[in-house]
Amino acid sequence: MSNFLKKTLTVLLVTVLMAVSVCGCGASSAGGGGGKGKILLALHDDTDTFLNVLVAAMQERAQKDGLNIDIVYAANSTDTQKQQLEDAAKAGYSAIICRLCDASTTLQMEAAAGDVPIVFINNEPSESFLKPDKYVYVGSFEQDAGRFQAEYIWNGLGKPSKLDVVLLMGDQGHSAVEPRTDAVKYFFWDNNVDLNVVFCDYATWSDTLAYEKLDMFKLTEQHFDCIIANNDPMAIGAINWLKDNGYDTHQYLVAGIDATESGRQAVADGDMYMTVLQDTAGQGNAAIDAALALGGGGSLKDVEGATENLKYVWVPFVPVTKDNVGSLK
Amino acid sequence: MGNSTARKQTKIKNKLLIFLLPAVVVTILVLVLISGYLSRKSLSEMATAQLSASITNQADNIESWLKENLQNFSTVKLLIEKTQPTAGELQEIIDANYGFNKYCRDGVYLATGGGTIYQAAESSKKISHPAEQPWFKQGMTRVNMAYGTAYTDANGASIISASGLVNDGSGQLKVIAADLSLDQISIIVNSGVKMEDAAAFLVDISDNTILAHQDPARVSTKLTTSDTDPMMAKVAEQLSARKWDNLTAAGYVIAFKEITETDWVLVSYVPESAIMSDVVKLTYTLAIAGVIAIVLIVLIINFLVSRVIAPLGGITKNIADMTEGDFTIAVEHNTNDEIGLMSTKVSEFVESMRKMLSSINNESKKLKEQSDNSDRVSKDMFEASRAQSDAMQNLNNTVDQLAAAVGEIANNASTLAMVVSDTRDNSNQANISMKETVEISKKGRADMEQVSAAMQGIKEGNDELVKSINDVGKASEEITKIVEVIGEIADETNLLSLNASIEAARAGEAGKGFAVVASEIAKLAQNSAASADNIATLIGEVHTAIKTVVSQAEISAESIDKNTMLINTAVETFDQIYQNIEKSNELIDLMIQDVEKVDDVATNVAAISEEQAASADEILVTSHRMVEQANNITQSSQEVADNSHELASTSDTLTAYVQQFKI
Repeated sequence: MSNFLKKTLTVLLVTVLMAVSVCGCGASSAGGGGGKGKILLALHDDTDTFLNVLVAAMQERAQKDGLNIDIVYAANSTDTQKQQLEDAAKAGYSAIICRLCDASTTLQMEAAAGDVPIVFINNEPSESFLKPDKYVYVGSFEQDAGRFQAEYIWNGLGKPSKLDVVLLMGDQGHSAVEPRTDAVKYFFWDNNVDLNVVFCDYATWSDTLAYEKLDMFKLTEQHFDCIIANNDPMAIGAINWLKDNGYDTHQYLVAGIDATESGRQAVADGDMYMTVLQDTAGQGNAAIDAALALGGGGSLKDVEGATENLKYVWVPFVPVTKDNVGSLK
Repeated sequence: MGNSTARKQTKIKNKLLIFLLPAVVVTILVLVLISGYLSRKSLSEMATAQLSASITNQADNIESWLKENLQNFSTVKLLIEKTQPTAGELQEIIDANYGFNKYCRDGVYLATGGGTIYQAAESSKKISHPAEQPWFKQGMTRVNMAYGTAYTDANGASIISASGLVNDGSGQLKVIAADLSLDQISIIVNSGVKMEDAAAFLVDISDNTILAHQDPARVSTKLTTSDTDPMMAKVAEQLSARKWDNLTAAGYVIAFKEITETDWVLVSYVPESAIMSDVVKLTYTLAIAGVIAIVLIVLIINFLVSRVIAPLGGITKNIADMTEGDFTIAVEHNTNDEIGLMSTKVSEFVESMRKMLSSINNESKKLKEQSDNSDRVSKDMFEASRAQSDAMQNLNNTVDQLAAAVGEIANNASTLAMVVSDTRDNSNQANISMKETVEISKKGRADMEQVSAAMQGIKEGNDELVKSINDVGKASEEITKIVEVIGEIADETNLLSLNASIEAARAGEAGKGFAVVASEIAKLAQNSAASADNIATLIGEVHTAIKTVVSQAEISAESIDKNTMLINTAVETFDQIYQNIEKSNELIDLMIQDVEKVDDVATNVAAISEEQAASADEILVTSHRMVEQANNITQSSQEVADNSHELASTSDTLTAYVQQFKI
C-alpha cells in the first residue's frame, strides 16, 4: 500500500512539475548588482525655488556618498529636454532623474532615454506611463498636502458646518494642482461640511498673480472664511492682499504648501495659519536611492516609501504650524 | 521463487498502464484546467484592459471636447478683455461669434453685476435677473472660464455653463458665459465607447448629478446609493468613497475615470457575461481538445508500452524455464535498450550454465565409471582374497595332513627303525607312501605357488584400486574447482542482477518490471551458489570417503605385502619340504635298495621326521596366520567394496543433481 502511495505521490509530483514548467517559462529573472554609475539630473528650468532646494539636497548627498551626478536644464523646452535625454542615453548614464517640462510628454521622454531608467520628480506623470522598476515617480503624495490644509484650516476655524473657501491653484496642467485642490474639497465633503467654493482659479504658483486674482474676486463682493493656496508664494500673495484690504490674517486663515523660507517666516509671524513641508532633502535622497537602485538593475523594493506596484516612492509631507515651525531650519 | 508462484501474477504492461494512464489523464486535466484558468484570467484582464482603454479614450475625447469648447469661449473672453470694447462693440463681438461653435447653440453671452445683459441677437436664450442665475454665480468664482455644475435653464433644458469673470480692468463686475447641453455631452460620451456591449455615463461628484447617460431619463438626476439598479447603487457607493479602481459588481465590470479640471467622473461598464462568453467558448474548446489528447495519448502509450516491454515476456518465460532447470531455451535479444541488454546477459548466463552443467555431468559420469570400476576391482579383489582364503584353508588342511603324514612317517620311521630289518615289504609300502607324499608335496607346492600368484594378483588389484581411488580424488578436486567456478558465476550473476536492479531503479517507473526480473535472477544465482555449495560439501564427503578408502587400501596393501612375504617364506619352506621329501624319497629308495643299511638311516629318518614334524607345526602355525591374513584381506576388500559402493552412490547423487538441469 505504501508503495502505491509512493507511486501516486510520484505521479502527482511529476504532474505538478510539468504544470509548473509549463507555466513557469514566462518568469523573468531580475538582475542584481548595485554598481554606482553616472546619474543625470535633467531639469526643466533653473528658476524653480523648490527644485533648487531639491537639487541642493541631492548634490549634498552626492558629495557625501561620492556619487557622479551631472545636471542639465531644458529652459522649459520639451524639445531641449528630449534632446538632453537622447544624449544621456548615448553618454551611458545608468539612470536619469527627470523633472518633466510637461507631464504629457512622458512617453516621448521615456522613448528618448532608451533603456535608461528614469526617476521622475516634482512633476508627476500619469500612472499609465509609469513602469515598475523602470519609470518611477519620487514625490510627495500630493493629496496628503491638500488634506492637511483642509483639516488644519477647518480645525482652526472651529469646525464650522458651512464654509466659504477661496482656492488658489498653481499652474494649469501641473500634476500637483488637481490632487492638492481635490483633496481640500474631498476633506470637506467627507466631513459633511457645506463647502462653498467662492473663488477657485489658477495663480500659476505666483504671489503677484494670486494678488491680482484676489483683486478680481474682490469685485464679486462675496464672503469668505479662508484662503487655501497650492503653494507658499501664492499664500503670501494672499496674505499681502488680505493685509492691503484690511482683513485680519488671524481671522481669515491662509494655508500654503512647501514651507519655503518666506512661508515659514509667515507662519512664524502668525500671518500664515499653516503650511505643509515637502521633505525636500527626503525627496532628493529618495530620488537618488531610486536612481541608484534602478541604475544598478535592482528594484524599488529596497527603497523606503516605495508602493507595492513599484511605480512610486512617496516621501511623507509634514504639516507646519506656529508650534513646530521653529524646529525647521 | 516459491513465493512468486503463490502471488498473483500481473503483467508489467498492465501495471505500467495502471500508473501511466491516471498520470497522463491527470496531467492533461491539470493542463486543461491551468490553461483554462490562465486564459480565463488573461481574457478577463484583457477585457478589463480593453474597458480601461475604452474609458481612457472616452475621457480623452470628453476632455479634449470640453477643452476645445472652453478655449473657443476663452478666446472670445480674451478678445473682450484685451480690446475693452464699448457696449456696442461688445454686442458686435458677441454677434460675430454666434454660430461659430456648433455645440453652443446660444453663443457666448455676458452680464454685468448691474444686470446689463449682452447676448447674440439670434440667440433664443431667455435671461432675466442674471445675478440670480447659476452661471453668473459660478462665473463669479473664477477669472479663467471653467465649467460649473449642471442646472436647468429657463427653457427647461439641462445644461452646463462655462463662465468666468471678465478682467477688462474696468473694475466692474462682469461675467461671461456659454452653455453646453447635457444632451450634447451624452452624445459625446456614448459615441466614445470603444468596446462591444459596454456603456458609459458621466457623473458630477460634487453634487452626484448624472450629466450623461444612455437613458435620457437618467440625465440630470442625482445618483444615490439607494438606486434601484444594484449596479448604479454600487457605482454611487464607489463615487462617494472616491475609489477609482476597476471592480466587478452586480454582474458588470465597471471602470472609473476622472475628467481632469472638473469634478466629473466617467463610469464605463460592460456585462461580465459579454466578457465571459469568450472564456466559456475557450473552456469548451480546451475540454474537447483535452479529451481528444487523452484518447490519443492513451492509445500511443498502450502501443509504445506493448512494444517496449514485449521482449520482457520472452525473458520472463525463459527465466521461468530456467528455474524449472531447463537450459535448452534460446533467448532472443534484438533490442538495444536495457531489456535487450538483459536478454543478452540472460542468454550468456544460459550459455555458461549449459557449458558448466554439461561439464559437471561429464565429470560425474566419469566419476561414476571410476567408482563402478573400483567397485568391480574391489569385488574381484574380494573374490580373489576369498579364493586365497579357501586356498589357504586347503593348504592348512594339506599341511595338517602333511603334519599327520610326517608324524606317521616319524612313527613309521621309528617303527621302521625298530623293525627295519624285517620290513622289506613294508618298505615297498613306505615307498608307495613316500611317492604319495611326494605327489601331495608337489600338489602343496603347486597350491602354494598358486597362492603366491593369487597374492600377486591381489597386490596388483589393490594397487590399481589405490590408483583408481586417487583418480577419483583428482576428479573430485576437479569437480571442486568446477563447483567454485559455478559459485563465481553465481556471484557474478548476483552482482549483475544487483547492477540490473540499480539500473532498473534509475530507469524509474519503466524499470520496475525489470527490477522484478533482476531480483528473480539474483534469487536464481543465490540458488545456484547454494547448489554449488551443496555439491562442494558432497564432494568434500566423497573426498573424505576416498581418503578413508585409500588409507584402508594402503593398510590392505601392507597386509598383502606381509602375506606375500609369508607366502614366499611358505613357498621356500615348501621347496625345502619338497627337496627334503625328495631327499627322503631318495633315501627311501636308498633304504629300499640298501634296506640293510636302513637301520642307521631309519634313525636319521626318525630324527629328520621329527624335525619335519616340527617344521610342519611351524608351517601349520604360519598357514593359520596366513588364513587369518587372508580373512583380513577379505574383510578389507569387503570394506573397499563398501566404500566404492558409497562412492558410486555419491556420484549417482551428483549425477541426479546435474540431471535436474536440461542442457
